[in-house]
Amino acid sequence: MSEKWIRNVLRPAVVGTMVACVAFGAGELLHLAVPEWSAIYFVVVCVLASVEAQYSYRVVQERSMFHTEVWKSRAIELAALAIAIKFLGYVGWPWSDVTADISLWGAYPERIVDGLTVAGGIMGFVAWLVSTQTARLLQRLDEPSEIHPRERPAIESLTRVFFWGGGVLIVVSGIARVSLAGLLDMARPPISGLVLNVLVYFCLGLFLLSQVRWSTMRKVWQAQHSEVDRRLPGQWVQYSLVFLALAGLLAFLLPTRYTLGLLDAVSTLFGLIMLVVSVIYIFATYLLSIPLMLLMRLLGGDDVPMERPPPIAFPQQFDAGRSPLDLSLPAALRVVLFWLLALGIVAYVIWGYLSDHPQIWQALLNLAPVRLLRALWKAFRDRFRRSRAREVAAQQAGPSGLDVIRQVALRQGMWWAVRTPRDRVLYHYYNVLRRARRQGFPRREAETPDEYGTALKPAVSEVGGEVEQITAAFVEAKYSQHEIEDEQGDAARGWGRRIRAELRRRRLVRRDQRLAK
Amino acid sequence: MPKVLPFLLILFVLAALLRVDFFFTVVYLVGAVYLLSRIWVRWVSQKVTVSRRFTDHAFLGDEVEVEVRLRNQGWLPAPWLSVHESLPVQLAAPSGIRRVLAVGPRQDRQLSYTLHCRRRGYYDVGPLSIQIGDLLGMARQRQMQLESAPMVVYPKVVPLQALGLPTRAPLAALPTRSPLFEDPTRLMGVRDYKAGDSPRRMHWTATASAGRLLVKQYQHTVARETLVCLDLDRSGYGQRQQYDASELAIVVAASLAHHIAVQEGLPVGLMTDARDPLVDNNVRFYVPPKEGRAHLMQVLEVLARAQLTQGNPLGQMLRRASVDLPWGATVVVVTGREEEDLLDHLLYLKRAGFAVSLILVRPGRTSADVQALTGRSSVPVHHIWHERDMGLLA
Repeated sequence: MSEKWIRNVLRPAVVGTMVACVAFGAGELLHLAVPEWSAIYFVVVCVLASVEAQYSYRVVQERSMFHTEVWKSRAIELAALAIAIKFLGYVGWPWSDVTADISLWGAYPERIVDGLTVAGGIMGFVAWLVSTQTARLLQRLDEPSEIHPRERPAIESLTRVFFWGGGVLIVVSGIARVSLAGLLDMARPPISGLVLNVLVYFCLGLFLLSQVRWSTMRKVWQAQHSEVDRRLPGQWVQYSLVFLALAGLLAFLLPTRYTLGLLDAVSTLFGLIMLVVSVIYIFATYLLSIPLMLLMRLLGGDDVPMERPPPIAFPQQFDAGRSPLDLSLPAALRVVLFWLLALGIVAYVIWGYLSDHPQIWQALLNLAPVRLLRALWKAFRDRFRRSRAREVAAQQAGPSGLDVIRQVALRQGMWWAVRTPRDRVLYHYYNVLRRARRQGFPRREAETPDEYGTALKPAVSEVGGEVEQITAAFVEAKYSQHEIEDEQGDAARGWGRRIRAELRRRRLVRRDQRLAK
Repeated sequence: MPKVLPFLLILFVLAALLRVDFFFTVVYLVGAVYLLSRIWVRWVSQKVTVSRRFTDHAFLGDEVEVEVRLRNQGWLPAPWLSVHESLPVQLAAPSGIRRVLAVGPRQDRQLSYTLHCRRRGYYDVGPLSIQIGDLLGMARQRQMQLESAPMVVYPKVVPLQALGLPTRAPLAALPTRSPLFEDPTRLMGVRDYKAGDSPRRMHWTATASAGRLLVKQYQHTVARETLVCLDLDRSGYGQRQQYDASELAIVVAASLAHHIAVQEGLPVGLMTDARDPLVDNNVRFYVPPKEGRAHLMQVLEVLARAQLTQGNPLGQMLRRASVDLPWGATVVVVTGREEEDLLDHLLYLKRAGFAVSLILVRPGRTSADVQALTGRSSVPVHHIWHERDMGLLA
């Protein structure tokens, strides 16, 4: 796609089509007010004005006209446009009626400037102004930014024009559909169906933004003397189209109706949550009731009749709470999703705005009610932290009564006291100690684990390495603060088993020797 | 970046007021374009990795191919990446590589360029910065950076046919015809015992085997550990030709080291006070004398990095050099100055038992007294004005 083709054909055509979309919306509105006026007339007038404005702007720029020449040229241009608008009003008239009407212009000058021509003229002039402005911005894309140091970047201005145009289009198209009276009726049903001109406007606008972005970036890269990959322009268009198609698909999939208001939707959401909670509660109660029934039967003997637990009473239908509408579950979910999206958009917009304007955010934080809320939150947070700190301090201060019981149980080799990997290491070490004591290798009170390990090793020389390892693991588990991994617990179990097996083997050997004697 | 959010909010309010379903779709479309653009750029910036591959050591005159590899590990294409690699002007013109390209999903792209090693030195290749952006200008551009990588260009090495530097050290590796010094670690053979031979030279095993007295014969050797002391103080070279003279001195030092290590297979070391671009400060480089090509590369790397400095007197360095050297080793001083002080230091080294040689690179005008002193000092002096003069060293 050559640059010349983009400038001469693509951009004017896209801008003209977008103007036509807005003109069609406005024409529909005017048609609603004056049924004789056709929306197509306004579309033709605006497209004509738009195309003429874009090309005439370029001619003026290329010929480097001076002020007087520009004004003269503009005056001729607007006069020609006005004549064209007037004569476009005759389209569809029989030729005799046209000549008759023109012959009356002398006697009745007001016939020259009738209502249709005035409306067409105003719309044509607005389209001409907007198109001239757009042409100016598009041309600025190709110029160095130093030429317009005080002006907003062209791409930003173009985006604003695009969104303002979109806003106007939505307003006029919307009013044309709901009528002015319908605007005030908030209870009216929503209007469904595709609004083609709005769709075309936004699709073309986004595509134009992508193209404008390309032009801007290319200018920047040229200024930096960057070598642009020759495949990039094609890929840019390709990616843009796929991206817009995906965004469009996502937009079409999302719910657009809100049959319930915001508060009703909140109520619906609450109802949904309560439904889920009640289902979980009923199911848990049902599961708990089975062993209780069995226990009662065991305690009461055969005389107590075995009662079957009541059947689960799942809610048969979702109750939409205060909603006046009888909603099914998918419909309720759709409503909730809609409002979540809506609130998400609003929240994101506000967050984005405040992020860009930190001074406003600071001013909001300094408001008295907000200060009060922040103070309350801080007090709550400090209280929570203090209680948490107390818990931690209590843990560090020493073991609780239950912990002491568990420690004793671990020493006695009771498996139920094992709760953590650290406990597992201790449990297997104490098991080894008990077995060794029975074999005649007790650990003395004053002996450290390492001293005891050194003393035990010659007795179980086959598993000397395991003795060293389990001793080291025990010391780490007993006296360290850091987390003990599961793998260490598994390893301690393996070492403990091998040492105990060796001790058992030695006992059997000794017994055999005794028997042999 | 255009401000889309206020417009999005306005469109949403309009859609909510008018209650036309399709307008919500339009709001979603604009919102999706805005959000997806930001998510896309963020995602891609996390998934694109960049690496650089090149030979980071080269000789003067070499051309080094650098490959920059951009890898997109994600399932989304990178719409455009603007890559800028900063390069030292001594190695590339223009002083940077700028490319713009797109990288498809799970795709690798390679950029390659050539570095022309026109000057010895220690250079930073990079950093490489990447800008990633979206297609509609809705998202902020993101930056990635790949740190710079060092590149060493060794100094030029001029081949020397032979080097006639003096030597007189025993206990070392160079075989010689002089019977003055023998290396007891180098057994050459045995001979019959003669009266007066030390009993410590007896080869008892061979004596037992042959049935007559035999004594060991050792190879006659002299030491030749050579330390090249390079003067890189600005004052050591004339003001007008400071750069050229100092570069020539470095070429001389590199060529000497190369000849001693490769041609003669002897240990060579280097000592110089210079500015190190790596630490951006003055450093005393000392590479103790050793043999082998790997060691030579270490010497050349120092010579590649070393830059002119100021305020580091040569005499101090020479006295320091004598501390770690064995007696009889050779000290070669490469400098541009011919001063009385320097001659004093050289004579001190000579008296300390070192073989000393002076190579003067483009010396300035010397006084008659100094010339006379140089003549009397019996220190061999070589003058180098151009690279071709290095043949005179032979």
